[in-house]
Formats: sequence, C-alpha cells, structure tokens
Amino acid sequence: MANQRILGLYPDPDKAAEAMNRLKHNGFPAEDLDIYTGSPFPEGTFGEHEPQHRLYVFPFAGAVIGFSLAMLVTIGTQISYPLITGGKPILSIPPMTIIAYEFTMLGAIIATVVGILFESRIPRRTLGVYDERITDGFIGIVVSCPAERGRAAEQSLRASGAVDIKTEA
Amino acid sequence: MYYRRTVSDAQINRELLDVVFRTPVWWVVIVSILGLLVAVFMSTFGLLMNQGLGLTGLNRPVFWGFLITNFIFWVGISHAGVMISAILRLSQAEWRRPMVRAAETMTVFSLMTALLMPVMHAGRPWRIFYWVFPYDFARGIWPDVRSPLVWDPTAIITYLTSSSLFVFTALIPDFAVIRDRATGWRKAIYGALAMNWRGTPQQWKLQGIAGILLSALILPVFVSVHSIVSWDFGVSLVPGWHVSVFAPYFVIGAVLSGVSAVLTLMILMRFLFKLQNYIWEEHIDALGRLLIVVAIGWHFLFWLDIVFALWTAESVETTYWQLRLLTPPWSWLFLLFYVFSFVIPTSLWLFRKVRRSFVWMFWISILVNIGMFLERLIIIVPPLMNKDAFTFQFGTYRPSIVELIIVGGTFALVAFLLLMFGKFFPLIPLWEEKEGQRLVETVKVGNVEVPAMIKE
Amino acid sequence: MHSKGHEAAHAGEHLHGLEDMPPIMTHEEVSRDVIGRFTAVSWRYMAVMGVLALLFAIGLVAFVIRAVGGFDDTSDWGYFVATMGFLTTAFVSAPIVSAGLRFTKAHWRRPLARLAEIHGVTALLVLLMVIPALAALPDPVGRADIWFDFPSPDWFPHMWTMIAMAALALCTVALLWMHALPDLANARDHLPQGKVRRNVASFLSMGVIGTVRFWRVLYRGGLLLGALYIMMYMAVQTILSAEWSLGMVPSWKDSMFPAYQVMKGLQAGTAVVVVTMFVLRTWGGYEKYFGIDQFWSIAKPLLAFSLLWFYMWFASFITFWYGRQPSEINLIQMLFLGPWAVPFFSSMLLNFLFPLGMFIWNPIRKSIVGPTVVAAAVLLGALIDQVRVYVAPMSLNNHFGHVLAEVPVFQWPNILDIAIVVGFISGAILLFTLVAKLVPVVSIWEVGEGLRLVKVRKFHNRWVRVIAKSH
Repeated sequence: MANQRILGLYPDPDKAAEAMNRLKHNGFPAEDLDIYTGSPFPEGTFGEHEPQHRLYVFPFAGAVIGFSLAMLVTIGTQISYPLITGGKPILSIPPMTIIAYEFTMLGAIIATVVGILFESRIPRRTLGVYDERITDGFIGIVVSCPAERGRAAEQSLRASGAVDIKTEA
Repeated sequence: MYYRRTVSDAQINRELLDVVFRTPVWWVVIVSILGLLVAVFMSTFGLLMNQGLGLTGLNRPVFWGFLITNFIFWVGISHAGVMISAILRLSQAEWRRPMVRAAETMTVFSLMTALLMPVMHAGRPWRIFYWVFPYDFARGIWPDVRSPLVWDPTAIITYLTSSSLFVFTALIPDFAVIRDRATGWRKAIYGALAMNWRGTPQQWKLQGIAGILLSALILPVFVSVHSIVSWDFGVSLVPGWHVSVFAPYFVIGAVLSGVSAVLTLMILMRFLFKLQNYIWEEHIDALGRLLIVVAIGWHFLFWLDIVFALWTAESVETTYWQLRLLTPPWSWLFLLFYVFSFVIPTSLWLFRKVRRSFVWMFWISILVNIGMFLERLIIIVPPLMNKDAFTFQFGTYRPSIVELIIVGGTFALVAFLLLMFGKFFPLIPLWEEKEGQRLVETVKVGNVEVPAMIKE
Repeated sequence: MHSKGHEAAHAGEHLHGLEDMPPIMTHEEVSRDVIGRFTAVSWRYMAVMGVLALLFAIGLVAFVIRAVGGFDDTSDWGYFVATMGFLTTAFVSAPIVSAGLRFTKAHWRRPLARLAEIHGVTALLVLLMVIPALAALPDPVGRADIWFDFPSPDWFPHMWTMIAMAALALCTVALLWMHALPDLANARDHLPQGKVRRNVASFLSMGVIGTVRFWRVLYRGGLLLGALYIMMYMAVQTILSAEWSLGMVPSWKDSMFPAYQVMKGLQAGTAVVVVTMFVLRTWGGYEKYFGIDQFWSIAKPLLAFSLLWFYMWFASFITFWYGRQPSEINLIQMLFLGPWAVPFFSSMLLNFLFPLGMFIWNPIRKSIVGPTVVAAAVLLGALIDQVRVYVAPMSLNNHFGHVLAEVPVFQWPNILDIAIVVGFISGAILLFTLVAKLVPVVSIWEVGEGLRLVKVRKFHNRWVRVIAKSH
C-alpha cells in the first residue's frame, strides 16, 4: 500500500508541539512523524522521536585507514630508498609519528564529514514535500501514513492551527 | 552574550543575505581594486618564476627571507580562525555565533595564501612535487619522510582539507536558506550545494554534533600545524633556532596574531556589511579579554626563549642575541615588535572602555599584526646572518621590491577572497544566529532580570 | 530532587531533558547542610588525621636524619626535592583550577572552587621545604643558574627563590581566605555561642557583612588574585625546574621545560581536585554537591591538559632527538631511554595513554568512577614523572662543566627516601584535612548564588535549564 506524506505548516512552535501531541494521541506513532525547521531546537522540543545515529563509528574507521596509509607511505619510502640523512636511522619512529598523526587525523576528519552527510541522509534525490517558508522560521510537521489515513492526519494537522497543508503521493 | 533585540528568522535571512542577493556598489569598487592588486601579485609571481630567485634579496648566508616570514605569518593568521571557532564551540560560548564562519573562512584563505609562499620560494615550484608526494615509481626516488620539509606539507594539507570541510559542513543549512529564496540558475546551484537538506531533527542533531566533534578533531591538528612549521627551524642546529620551546611559542604567537586578525575582520565586516545588529561591543570585548590571556601566555614562552638562550652563556647564542637586541636595525625592529604586539595592546586591553570601542580595537589589532610580522622576521633572519669565522661580521639581508610586492599582494589576495566569499555565502551563519535568538531568556533575581540562556 | 522534577513526575509528563538535572536545593538547605558537616568531627575523620599525622611525623624524622647527614651530596636530596616538586605540581596548582573556571564563569565550578583553593595551602609546606632544598644546591658558580650570577652576596640568589615561593604562598592563603569570608561569617552567625570554632570563625571573618560593596570587592579581588596566582605559579615552576633540575645538568638547555612543568601542574592540579571530590562525595557525605555535572565537566580539561602535556614533552624531545649533538644524545639517555626508561614510560602510560584511551569515550567521562580512576592514575604518573625529572639530575656526580659527559645510573629510593616521599605527601593531605575544618570545604555562598542563577523550566514539550550569567 502506498504511503502518503502530508506536511502541515505552523508559524509558531507552540502550535507545532500541540500538533505533535495531537497526532500521537490520534494514533500516529512518533516514528512516522518528522519535523522540518529552519534552525535547530533543543532535542525533544516537540516531543519528537529521538534521532538515532552511528556517527561515532566513522572517525574511528577513518583514523584506522589514515594511520594505515601513513604507515604504508612512511615505511615504504624509507625502505625503498634507504638513504641515511643527518644520522637519522631508516624507519625513524619520531618523524613517522608526526606523519602518522597527520594522516590519522585527516582520515578521521574526512570520515566524520562523510558520516555527517550519510547519517543526515543527504544528498537526497528529491526534496519531497516541503515549503520554502520553513527556512523563514515556520515549522513543518510531516506525517507518513497509508493513503487511507491521510484525511485523519490532515484533520489533526489542521485542528492544531496549520496555516497550510501539502500532500505528496 | 545576550541578544539586544528580537529578530525573526525571516528578518535574519533578509539582513544577512542582503549582499548575496544584491550587489552593493562598494563591493564592486573594492573588489575591482583588490582584483587589480591580485593581478599585479600574480604577474610578479610569474616574473619571479621566469627570472629566478635572483630577483629577491636572498644571498649568502641568508637564504630564508621575506617569503618564508610571510609564510609563517599567514599560517599564523590561519590559526585563530579554527581555534576561536573550535574552542568556543567546545565550551558552548554563546558569543561565538557571529564570528565562527568568518574566522573559519579566514583560516582557509590565509592558509591557501601561506601555501603559495614556499611554492614561490622554491624557485622551481614544479620540482616540489617529487620531494613531497611519493609518486615517482619509475625512478625509485622517494620523499624523505624524516625531513621536516615533508612534515610541513603533510600538516598543511591536512589542515586545509579539514578546515575547508569544517566550513562546508556548517554551510549546508545556509545553502538551503539561499536555495529557498533564490530563482533561476542560482536556485539550481545552491540547491545542488544544499543536497536537498530539509532540517529534520536528525539533521540538526548531526549539525550540532558535527560542530563539536569536528572541533575536537581539528583542534589537535591546529596545534600540530604550527608546531611542525616551528620545527622547520627548531630541529635544525642553527643557534637561535634550535630551541625546544619553539613549538608552543609559535602556536600561541599564531593565536595572538590570528585572534587579532579575527578582530580586524569582525570590525571591518560590521562596517562594510552593515552588521551592527549582529556584532556588538560585547563580542569585541570578549575577544579582547581572550587576547589578554593569550598575550600573557605568549609572553611567558617568549621570555623562556630569551632566558634559556642565555642560560649556558655560549658565545654563539649570546652574540646572536646581541645582534637581535642591541644592533640596529634589528634592535629597533625588536623594540617595535615588542611594543606593538605586547606592551601597547595588553595594557590597553585591560580597560573596558578600550575593549568596547570598535575604533580602538581595530587599530590595536592592526598594530599587533605589524608586530607579529616583525617577530617572525626577527626569528628567521638574524640567526642565518651567522658571523663568518674569518671576517668577524654578520651577513646582511634586505628584501627586494619583488618580495615587497609579493608580501603586499598576499594581503590583497586574502581580502579579495574573503569579499568574494562574502558575496556568495553569508559570513555569519544564519542558523546559528536563529538558534541563539531562540535560546535567550532572563532569570528574575529580586528586582533584576539577569540575562540567561537556555541549555539542554 | 525537588520542585520541577517532582511536578513533572506527578503530572505523569514526559521528562525529556530532566534526566541530567542536578538536585535542586534552596540556599538555606545548602547552608544548613554544609555548616552541619563542617562542624561535625567524626571518628573516621580523627582516625584519618591520626594516620596522616603519624606518617608525616615519620617523614619528618627521616628528614632530620638526612639533614644530620649533611647537605653536601646532592644525590641524597633527590627524592626530597622530587617530593617538593610533586607537591608544587599537584597540590599547589589546584587553585588555578578554581581561578581559571571563575574567569570563564562556569557554574559547575561552584561546589569545587573551595576545595581547590584549600589545596593551595600546601604552598606553606613547600615554602618550608625550599629552605633545606636550597641548602642542598651546589655552588652556582661554574654552572647555569636562573639568577645568572646576578652581582650580589652569596646568599642573595637564594633569597629571590624564597621570596617567589613566599609570595605564592601568601597569594594562595589570601585567595582562600578572601573567598571564604562570606562562609566564615555564616559560621560565625550559625554556630552555637561559646564554641571555639565559632570564635575562630568570628575572628577570621573580621566582621564581614554582605554589603553590595563587599560583594563587588570580593568579585573583582577574586579575579585579580586569581590572575596573579596563575602568573606567580608560572614563575615558581620556572625557578624550581631551573634551579633543581636544569641547573644540575651541564648543557641541559631546554626552554620548554618550565612550560612543561606548568602544564604538568595544570594536569595534576585538576586530578587532585577530581580525587578530592570523589573522597568528599563517597566518605564525606557531599554527594549532593559533587555530581555527574562536576565530574563530567572537569574530565574535558583533564583530557586537554593530558594531551597538551604530551605535546610539550614531544616538542622538546623531537628537538633533542633531531639535534643529535653528543650532549643531546646523553640527555635523551638520561631522561627517557636510558636507566630512567621504566619511570619515563610508566608516566607516559599513566599521564597520557591511559587518560586518552579512557576519556575519548563519553560514557566514561560522564561518570563518577571514570574520571576518578583516570585522575588517580594521573597523580601516580605525575609523582613518577617528578621523581624522574628531579632525582636523575640531582644524582649526577658532576654538576659543572660544559657537556653532560656521563649518563647517571638509576637511583633507587632507600628507606629514608620512601619515608620522606610518603611523609610529606601525607603532610599535604593532613594540611587539607585540618584547613577543611577551619573553612567549609564547599563554598556555600557560591553554590547559593548558582541556585539563584540556574532555573529549570518547560520549553514546549521538554524541560530545559535556564542559565543566567551575571556580569
């Protein structure tokens, strides 16, 4: 059965919070409700479903990759070109630490940014149901529900004072 | 830092995106002039490549001069940006909001500019590649990773990549704002950059974590970069350079000059972009107080450097400190540097009135950076002028006109890049401002309403 | 736990955002509770005092035996100087934690500011220890010295060291006393008439009344003294490390070393505060004041200091390692890789790797036990580190000359050394326990002020903290 996404637009956070409560009361589970805002609100302001993510895995993975690359480069170059300069032995640990450190951090940072994009689920193919007033401070509540419950969702959204309703099939 | 007036989200969008959607005349004029200067700079660069390093004032025994000084200077400036924004994000300081992006952007551009300096200084830049990157499989010649001159590019490339990503990540929500307001080709471009961002709780939560996590990861990189730059000098055996305190001394000096540059930038932004509603006396006051602490920390390490240079009373060190401290022109350059970057600023910053005056703070911040440029020059050149064993006199160095044009040109380049950025992207993060506005509160204690912030 | 939390719980509402809220008490409750604990003297307290006093007495006896043996051989005094260095590094630096946090106006500092300042009183003990330590110094002529052969009578350079240390001790006592004034006035007003403690409090509070002018002076004066203290601490660490460590080793020219010692001080000072909070919380009944908020918040600077300490070590190490001059090779042997390698690597483990490995995990930072275990490890590591940096240089046979010709062997502590180390550290803890009965160990007025400035309120569908910061 095709799911429908309905957006209700609220100029005021209080109204939006009320709408969330009403929707949950009317049997729409929190997981099926999403909120679009133009700037961050403290977590749980609208009583929304708590966001889950595994971002912390990314920097570690990136760090491991970066460190391994650094080892490859530092060990590889010194062994392939074993020329003692300035009395520093081949496979000198202190300079290798410095390069390994930079590579590790670089790996961790790139992986973190990738992780942020991935866990934010961007880039997306389409914007979906959306309203440009959201970035002007309006709050959008999006209900995902089976088509036959669409009307009920719309009613709940309107009852809490939505100024606009948009529907996406 | 508490908000003086309530501004709606729409108003923030309108005011902060004004320059993005409408090109002011002043912008066109300034950018054209700067563009011209940048063209002169690039031509001089070309000339230098074509004619060789003989155009500079470098000669035996001084082979590191203005270009390297300028490199250290711009790496130093690039330090404050990320340091300010990372430390303030980690400590969740409310007054960070209007300055984080400008500071981070300055980091990126000044680092890019800094990177040009050793490239020019190398004389034949294309040859840099084979001692930096391990790519030459055919001939079997590999970079020497034990050389600090390889650590340097590693660190700077890491820092440049990280800080660019840092700026980009925090820009995504603002791309969405512009996307929603733009039309035509602009909408397409900003839409692509925004990657269909919608502002769900999940996305905002990750933005919040990104700010903290990336800050925590970039801070150690930031410390390492200038340390590694300092080791270009510190690990050599040149008396006056072979000093263990150089790493933190360079880092904190970079913070001093960089935070001052952020101050200059904030005041200019306020003036040019008409950001009176976003950048107030409180912000520069807070920066001023931070700078007092930084300057005192810097002075401790500066003092340790001198004390321990004289510690063992070896003549190689003492003669060279005599050169620095007592022989003109170095002696008066030293005096200027010390007075400009420490005595005048720190004593004036102690006064609240000065800290809250845009005019005073602007000129002081400029003074600090003149002083810090001189400091780098004094660190780099005199130790290379080592006394010849048979002639008993120091070598000399005087920058040529080419070097002066290049150094001047870098200032034009950074300003040019920042203005270009400011035209296409908001220099103050819209979403951070909006969040700040939302979290303002007051707590009533007796008869006063004490300004307060909502914290999760 | 009271007020909003209960209201919400009773109303059966969603408590999002209330999980981490500290218990909310009134100023009066805090005052009654802290003054009550401050006055009570339990058998446990007496037993601890007894043990500490005994250990300190043994330490003093060992010290006297050492002193009778004479001051000519510097290697005899290595462990004594290392103890002095450790006390300066760990306990004397603790007030910096409170001073620094006062600058940043962090609310979570309020309950712990006082105990950090009480630790600073150890400076008095260090001041006394400096006298014999100065006597153990060899003649400055012919070796590097922080006073640079300043033209003066022979004893005069030592006078500078004493003046610096005395100024630091004076400043820390002033800092403690000044911030304790309102609480001493509180004790004066609330302890029963005729009690000795009341008379002491009354005397120490000097008739303070909380006028507007008084609070202004207290606020400004506290910041000023705090700033002075931090700067004087830097100077004292520079002198100690230059006189008893760098100056003992020919050709050891390490401009980083004093800064390294200051950073070690910040790290160990923070660790002392954490461990003290844990002790007070677990055995002193102060669990309402030292909660997750305090441990979690202080874990971050502790991690930062641990990283910075390693950074400073590495920066100085790479300079020597890369330099490779003969004296530098010997120096590396002496300090890191030679006979002192085991202490060196232990302190690296305890002061850097362990804190890093633990503190990158938020659940460990956000706990009571996690930060405490790390802090205890940091303190142990700091002691080992101070032994390394002071005993090795003091154990050299020849402090004069231009190069470090020989690498000293590892010097095991003998029974006297152990008695001195344990005794004087016990002495510092004894001083803390004594002073904790002279001024309340939790700053009542600061906690009370915080209660007025932090409120809990509803924000749409969740609860938030509203934090005010007065300027």
